[in-house]
Amino acid sequence: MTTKHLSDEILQLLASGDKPSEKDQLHLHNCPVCQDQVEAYKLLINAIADQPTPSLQFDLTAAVLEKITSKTAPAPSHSGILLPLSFLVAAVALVYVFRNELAVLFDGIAVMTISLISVSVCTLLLFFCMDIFSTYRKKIHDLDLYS
Amino acid sequence: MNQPTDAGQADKELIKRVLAGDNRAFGAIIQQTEKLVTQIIFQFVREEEERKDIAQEIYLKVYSKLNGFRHESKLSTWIAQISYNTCLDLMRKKNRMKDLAIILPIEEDIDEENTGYSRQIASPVSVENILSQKILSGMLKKAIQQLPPIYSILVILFHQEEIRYEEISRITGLPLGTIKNYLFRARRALKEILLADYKKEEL
Repeated sequence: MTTKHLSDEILQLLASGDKPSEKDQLHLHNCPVCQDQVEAYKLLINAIADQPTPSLQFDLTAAVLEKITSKTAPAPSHSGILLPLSFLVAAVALVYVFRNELAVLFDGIAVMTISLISVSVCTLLLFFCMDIFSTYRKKIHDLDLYS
Repeated sequence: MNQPTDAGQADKELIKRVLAGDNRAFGAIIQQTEKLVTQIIFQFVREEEERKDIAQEIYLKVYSKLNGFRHESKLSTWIAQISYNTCLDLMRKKNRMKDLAIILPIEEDIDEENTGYSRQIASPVSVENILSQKILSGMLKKAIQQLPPIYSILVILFHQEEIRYEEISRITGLPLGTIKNYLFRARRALKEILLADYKKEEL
């Protein structure tokens, strides 16, 4: 004669606090083996909950914040000077190379007008370059963090 | 029931501050979620130095992706998901994927489907005696480490971190049914490992 017991799944559900069906309740009441198993699972579940939580043994917050801060630190000052300086040199070189053509182009136009046009164009170009540079730095920063 | 809403609101505030450049707010996020992240890392990675490296990698990823967080889940769930996926990627890189999906053999003889009854006969030794609290605590840590990582993670997340099935499903990407099934198997495996280890010690 084989002894039928509650399945392991039902034993675990009972140990977790699930309400048994009438049939299971009756079996449990009369079966010390299944009672034993339910108690074992209850002990196991409680023991898992009581296990000490592991620890990384170092200051994770400080380490991560240091990495974030170093990656978002402002670029060294020389990179902020080099770009406008390069732009200025390039502009002066272009004006020198095309000085004859420019003289013909602006012949008859008042000096004041020429100055205003030059300053406006230069200012627009400067802001345009700054925007491109800022977008480039942001993309590099994102790539650095993700790599 | 305001607690979930309050927690969600607190998360939103912290994220807003981080995106505005307040790194101390990100420090607060790390401190709030470090315990959960550490639990996940410990189930996948055994070496101390590697754990430190991957923990930092996880939070750097969180920082870079924070702008894209849509508040569809709790912040801690989202960070746990990143932790889980990062650890899986590490396992793939190290070619350890074969260890992840080991399914423990089921020796239970089921009479009929869904009757709830089986012919399983428990060990003649009283299980309660074997699994007394003192003995159990000492052996349990080793037993959990013998489980495949996916099983141990589910056991830790459900029983120790008290995370619900739905959140575990979000974290691991596993369906609810699979999670419940794996948890059943994991608990049974733990019980069998502990009984086997105890009998070995007795001899």
